[in-house]
Amino acid sequence: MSDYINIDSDDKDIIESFKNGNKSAFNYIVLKYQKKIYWLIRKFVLDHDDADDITQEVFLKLYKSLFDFRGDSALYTYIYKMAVNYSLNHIKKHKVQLTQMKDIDSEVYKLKSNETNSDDIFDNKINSIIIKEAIMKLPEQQRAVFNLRFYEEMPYDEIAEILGTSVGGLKANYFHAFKKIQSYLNEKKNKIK
Amino acid sequence: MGKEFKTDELLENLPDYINGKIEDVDLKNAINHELTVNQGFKNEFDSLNKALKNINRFAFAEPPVNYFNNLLPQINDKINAESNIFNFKKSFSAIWKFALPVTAVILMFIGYETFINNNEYINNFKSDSQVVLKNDNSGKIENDGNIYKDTDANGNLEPTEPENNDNFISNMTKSFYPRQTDTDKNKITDAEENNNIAIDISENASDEDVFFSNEEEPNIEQEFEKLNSEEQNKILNEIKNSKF
Repeated sequence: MSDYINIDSDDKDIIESFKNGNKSAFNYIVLKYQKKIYWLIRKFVLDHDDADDITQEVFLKLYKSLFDFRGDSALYTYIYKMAVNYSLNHIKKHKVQLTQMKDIDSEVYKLKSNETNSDDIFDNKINSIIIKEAIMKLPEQQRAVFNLRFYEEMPYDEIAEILGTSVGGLKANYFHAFKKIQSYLNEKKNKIK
Repeated sequence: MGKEFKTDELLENLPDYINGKIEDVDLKNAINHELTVNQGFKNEFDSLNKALKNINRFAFAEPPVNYFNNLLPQINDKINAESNIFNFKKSFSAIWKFALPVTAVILMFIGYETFINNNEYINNFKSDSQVVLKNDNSGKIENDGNIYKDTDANGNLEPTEPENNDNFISNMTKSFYPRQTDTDKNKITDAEENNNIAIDISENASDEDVFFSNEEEPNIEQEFEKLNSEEQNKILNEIKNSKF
């Protein structure tokens, strides 16, 4: 079995091969999921270096725990769960919100005083910065639901499995996340004008 | 007839409706209907739609070129580093498992040896100090060996058991004389010849030498036996009076 696996092989086959002693089977898992996991984490922590660190931590953790993986849930759900938990822990631990917030405010005013920007570029940059800030201001649960539903386009039952909650309430979280982002955008744009 | 939905339920589904993620036809129809009849619901829809457009304009900067090509080797490096640490810890714990009981045994052995040595020292000290001379009111000299029981009219010691006399003298000389070199022996002999006190502890003798003498002193006994009873009593009185 282990001789025939490749990056397109079923997750179960890759895991079985790994458990049978083919350690290089793990490389296929990394290659298969690295982009998805990186971008998922990146949307949580926003910064590339943080996302890089957490991505590596997640795969390292996966390597250690893969032998004990029983397959009760799909592998990608298992990895996503780890990625979300690591990201949320990172945010809590490093208080990303507060530090990034200062950076964004200074960036907004820097951009505003830069007259060489055309209106469109200016609007786009301002917009992206304010949206970043708005996402960072979301409460933990809403942020997780927003990222998983909006960016990852996951069904609610999978989001519930990853976050360890029930499906009911996730739609409400998603709706309120949008509302908060929109109201924050309006508030910031009015300040800048 | 389609399912009925509350307005709150329809509101919560608005983001998915805007993103085109709703597959339930009844739900989709219910939202479409609500948008035509409920202005507040329509305003909410417009607001969310605007937010969605804004969010879609926002893009994350791409990671460095070749980032994903280098990610796997970096992860493998970390795994190898962790494995090395794990192996080191494993071998260290194995060594520790062996070393801990061995160290405990060694410490117990050292403790035991020290305890035994101390006991021997104390026992030696006690046995060497057993000859404690006490002069009671009846004029009897007592000691643990009961070698001398009586004194004469002058208060001098009288051996009651002649066969033990040798032992007593031997004990006394062992107790009071250090190990002697030839020079020391000569000194003692000279002192005796000059009628000086027989106890002549060498200046070079250590405390241990004083309290733990060995078996190399036969001459003193012989010399003592050669003395007449008056001289012997004199020496014994000297010893008695010394209260050593």
